[in-house]
Amino acid sequence: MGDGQENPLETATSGYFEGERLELLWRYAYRPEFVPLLMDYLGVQPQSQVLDIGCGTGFLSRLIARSVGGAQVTGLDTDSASLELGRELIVAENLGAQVKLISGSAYELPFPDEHFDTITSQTLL
Amino acid sequence: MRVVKRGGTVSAILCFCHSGNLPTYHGRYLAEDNHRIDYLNLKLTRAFRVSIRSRILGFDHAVLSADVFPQFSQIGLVDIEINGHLGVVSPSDSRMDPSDAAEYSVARSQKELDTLTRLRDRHADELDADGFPHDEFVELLRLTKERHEYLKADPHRSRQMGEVFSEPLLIMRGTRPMENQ
Repeated sequence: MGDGQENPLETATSGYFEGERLELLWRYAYRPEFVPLLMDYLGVQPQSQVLDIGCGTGFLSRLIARSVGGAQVTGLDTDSASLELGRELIVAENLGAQVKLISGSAYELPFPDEHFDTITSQTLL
Repeated sequence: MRVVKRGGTVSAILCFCHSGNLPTYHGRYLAEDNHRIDYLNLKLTRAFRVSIRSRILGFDHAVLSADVFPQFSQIGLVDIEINGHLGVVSPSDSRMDPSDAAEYSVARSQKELDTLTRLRDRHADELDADGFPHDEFVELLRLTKERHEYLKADPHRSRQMGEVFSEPLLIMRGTRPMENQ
């Protein structure tokens, strides 16, 4: 985990697919023809409040924002390097009004109860 | 803590290669010991899920697939379903240029070796007690290194191997009930 916490299950979640490599991993993910289907699967609607847990560089957060106008997406991750890169990409893609990335742990979600319409994660479990 | 609204959805996008938080780079290629490395990977995955992941998370992960079902159910979600699978990246993906494909392959091999090494360093005794002995760990690491050397020697091998790796994502979804249950 990026903040130095010991996660007994981190064996496969850190290392070579963080930061720029994580972005490379997802750059080609989701063939465009499948994206509407993905949004339907996730239950994202315009104006939805969406939480993306373990967002990394925010690839899925940004994809949701680009695909569903008005959706408000919060990405949560513990890896500061990935979050920093993700924030740069949000600015570059002009998604600042829809996406914000927050440092925090999935074990202690820093949000009030009943705050989100949809919660998702990508290869976190 | 229930940060999702009543009637809201909770979903998890999973990759077959990450199931159980233990990625293995399954693929189709012809090489010596190919069947042996698949056998050892599967055996390690079973031991990992039973002895380590189940203990830490407090769920029974003896089953090799669909392990999110009991987790989603235990936190009170209903209408749990698998929605399907979507195409994602692989070295054989036609959208991927050769340099990115090469970098992707190297990163995956590094991650797999790193994961195996950390598993061995942290949990070798537990895994040994649950049916994955030390000598097989040594053998799996050796075979894994040899496989990646074989693949890196010819970029076409990586692309060919990735053909079966191109649509691995599935999505599991559950809904928070409208009423407390």
